[in-house]
Amino acid sequence: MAGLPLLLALVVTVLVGTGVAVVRRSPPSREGTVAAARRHATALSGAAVAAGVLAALAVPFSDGSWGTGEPGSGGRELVLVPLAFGIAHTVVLTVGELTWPRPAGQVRRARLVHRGPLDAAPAWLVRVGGAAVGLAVLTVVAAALVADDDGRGISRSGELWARSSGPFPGWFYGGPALAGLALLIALAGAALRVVATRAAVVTADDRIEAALRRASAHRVLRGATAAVLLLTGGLLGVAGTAAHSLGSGPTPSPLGPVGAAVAVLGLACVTAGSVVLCRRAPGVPADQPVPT
Amino acid sequence: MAPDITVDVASPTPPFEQIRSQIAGHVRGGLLAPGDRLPTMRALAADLGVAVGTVARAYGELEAGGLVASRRRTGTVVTGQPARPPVGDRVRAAADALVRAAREDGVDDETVLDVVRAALTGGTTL
Repeated sequence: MAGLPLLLALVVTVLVGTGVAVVRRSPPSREGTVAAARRHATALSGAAVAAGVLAALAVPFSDGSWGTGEPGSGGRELVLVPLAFGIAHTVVLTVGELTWPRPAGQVRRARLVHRGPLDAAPAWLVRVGGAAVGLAVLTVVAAALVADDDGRGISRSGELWARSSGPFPGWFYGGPALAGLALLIALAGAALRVVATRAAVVTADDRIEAALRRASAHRVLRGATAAVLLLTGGLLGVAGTAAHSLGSGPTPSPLGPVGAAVAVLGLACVTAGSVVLCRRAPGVPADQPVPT
Repeated sequence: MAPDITVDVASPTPPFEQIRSQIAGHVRGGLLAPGDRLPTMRALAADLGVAVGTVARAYGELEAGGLVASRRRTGTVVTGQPARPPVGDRVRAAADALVRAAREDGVDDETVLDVVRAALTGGTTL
């Protein structure tokens, strides 16, 4: 299936994203609590990406069928590569948010403000994530409806001809993808709740605390959204290629151009996923002079 | 802007009482209006570095006092200022005298409040 290109896209994107994060760092913070929180966030972000990449690399070989030549061997695992990245990334971020530096000292201060799970989340990422999930579900359902009974290919026939093409993301591939997608959504929701309720960073500048929390939510949504976009792009790419192949050749049909358009849409989704994954989290504002 | 509360973990006043009294003060002072949502117990406990049960006890007492209400969907919400018993003239005069004395001696407001809290929790020192 589209696993290897997706894996390659994921690795290249992670390298580019890491480069962007290193080049465009916020200036160092003078407040000890802020500096500690930023160190924690940086380590957390790196660990989450590393865990995601390791999980993505491990998935194709998880059942031992990769490269055996059996029908669909390894294909179902490969389609889960982006989801494995997203799930591992989100789990590590959640653990990191749960271990966020706690307030210390004799006198502790808190603002009496309610924080909801989406309050700190960048609106554009919420919208893109929601659209990506919708498109992924639509892709899986639509592909399952037109796929063969075995869920691995697509066939069409006329009076004097019959053709089939594959692989095609029917239920055989789409079922596990949908289950993984549901798990990823649940984990991302839980992570956003943890971000909303974790301890505030003790600072004289409220903008810094807000920026750190916004960055935490950004990291959660960035990884999950990119994973869904890469998954959707892979499914659309495979479906489009199979449909195009079926609709071309000696018995051309409208499936040809439709398949090509779907494949291009898949490529656009993969590109969008890569861009989302490279988007740097909101920076921390420069320290203000601490009022005396 | 939402008001702050502080908790002094070394204070003889228990943390739950510090939380309760400050939120009650903000409601009575108008800094928290009816309908305002308080932080979740878990979030406030994390911010203050205290146990969730400590915040739960403070919220429970505020609810028993009619200042807040816990709702399933919206969490803990300020309901308003309950009717308060009238303050006697003698108490009001004593408070005025205390403030006057504190001003003359240069004692700051926080210290005055600490003195009053200590007197309330430890009984009269007269």
